[in-house]
Amino acid sequence: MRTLDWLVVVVYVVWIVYDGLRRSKGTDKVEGYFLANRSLPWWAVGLSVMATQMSAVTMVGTTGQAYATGLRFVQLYFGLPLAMIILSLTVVPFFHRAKVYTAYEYLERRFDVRTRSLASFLFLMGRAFSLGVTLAAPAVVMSTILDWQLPVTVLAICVPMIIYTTIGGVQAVAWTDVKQMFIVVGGMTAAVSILIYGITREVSFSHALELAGATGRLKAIDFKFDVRETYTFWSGMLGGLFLMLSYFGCDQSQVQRYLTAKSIDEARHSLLMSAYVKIPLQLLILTSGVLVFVFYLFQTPPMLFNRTYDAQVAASPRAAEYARLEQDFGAAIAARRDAAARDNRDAFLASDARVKDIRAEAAAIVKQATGDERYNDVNYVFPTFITTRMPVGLVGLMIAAIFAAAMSASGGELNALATATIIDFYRRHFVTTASDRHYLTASKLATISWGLFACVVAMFAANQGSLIEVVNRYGSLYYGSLLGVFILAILTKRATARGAFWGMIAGMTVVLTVAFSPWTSSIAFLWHNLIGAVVVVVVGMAISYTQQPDRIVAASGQPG
Amino acid sequence: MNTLRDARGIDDTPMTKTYTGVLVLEAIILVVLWLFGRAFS
Repeated sequence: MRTLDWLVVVVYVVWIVYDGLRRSKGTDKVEGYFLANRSLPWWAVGLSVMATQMSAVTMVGTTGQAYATGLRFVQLYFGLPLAMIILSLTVVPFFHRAKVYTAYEYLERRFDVRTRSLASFLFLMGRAFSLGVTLAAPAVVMSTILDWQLPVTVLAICVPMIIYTTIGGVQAVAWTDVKQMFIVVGGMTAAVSILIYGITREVSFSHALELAGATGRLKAIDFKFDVRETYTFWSGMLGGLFLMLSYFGCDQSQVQRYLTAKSIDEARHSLLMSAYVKIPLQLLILTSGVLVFVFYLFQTPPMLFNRTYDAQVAASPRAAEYARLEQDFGAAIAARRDAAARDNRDAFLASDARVKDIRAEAAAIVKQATGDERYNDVNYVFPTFITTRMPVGLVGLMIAAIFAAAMSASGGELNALATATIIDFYRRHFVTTASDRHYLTASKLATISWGLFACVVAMFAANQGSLIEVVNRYGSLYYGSLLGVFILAILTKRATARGAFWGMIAGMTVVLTVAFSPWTSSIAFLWHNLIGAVVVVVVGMAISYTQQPDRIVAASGQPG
Repeated sequence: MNTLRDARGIDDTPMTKTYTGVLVLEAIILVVLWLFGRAFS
């Protein structure tokens, strides 16, 4: 990091906080603070929806995963466009007409308060931990680059975000999201351009694609039906569909985004923006990971990208073995480069496999020498490329982009956590008749509290495998059950409050059993969403049919 | 005469064309990705 890079990062952070504070006008009432008085245009909401979903986890974790396995991760998003259409037809008009603050508020109108509280509680627990992971990704990056302690880095990222989210509320979040999306897309486009330029100085672009393709990294679609495989066409279309329906339809961090839209149509347009853009954007990010792989075919990569433990390994009894591996690695890289340049496919694949084996051996030594069983290299690939291979100024832009992604995703989540806490619990159960000013103050305190909680989680989440998977795995434990209860609420008239509540309990129980039982834990996490939703609907309806129908209260947003 | 638009409200209009566009675009992306993967494997 040179002075110019630092300048870019500092100017960016100051600008974001300043602009966030400027947006605090009109947020002196709870509705303004949480819903921007339902006044935002569709394109701003749409960019905010995408920014909230595309965190720094996406930039750091996804690129690392594409470096290791290629484009196949994109299959996760195959269910998204259809999910957006279904949501536009169903929950969007319901939530808008119901004039709710949270998605779970609607569940009380349809069922009862305990169903609402349980759903909101599931959201709070799941989202609070996910927020910690979302913050951990850029913290990992900055810790590596700056050689800072992780807690210092986490605070450096969190404090500006907590400040503008607390003071400016959802308006600050939405409008900073808009700017941050431009910075993220600009940064990724710059990275891809630099990579293509660097690669085509060595080989033609078509030859580069052939090399990436030979290792299977350009095979984006896998039609094999295997519930143990995480990323296949079917897991993306079915499991991914249910994940996206749950995330965009039942997760307050997303629902709150489109509740800020001016009208039902504007809310729909904001969701459909993701339906059009999300897969191409995800391909851009994944492509950068694949291009980093190709780039390092002709430039010498480090044996391990995560150099955190270099000193510890050098001082360990296995230091000599590690040094020998580095020599072998150098030879394997040279052989691979030679085979790639000569277009000798068999020799290229053999030496690439050798490189992979050496890396695995090196990672095993690091784990054994340091005792860190969760040591992971994938998340360090892209940050290492940025800081060692990109030109001055652009390094700062990329770091700012990672900051931007982290802040935009976590600001929205933080605001949603505060909303659910105050609206679904504090105002509903504890202080039911206070002034708007009182609730506004409580909302700001809730924002700060959740922000600090997420910081603590982030400090422990840094080395939990591939970060993008960690976020989706956490979510998939409860998303399906949330979706199931909303299906009961919106698509059926016969479901009763008792059926919905116990259906949700059954859904969570089954998903947790499937996820952690030794007999079923091999089922890929995307399927947990489908399993949870199906169990809730089946159990919920079964219980409902044993009862007299609930008296349906006529209310806006009621199915009818 | 009441139109569907009147019944749904002025801010709640059918978007069939947009939905179709979304699905068509996804189908095109899937086919292109599949062909791309086959061409470079």
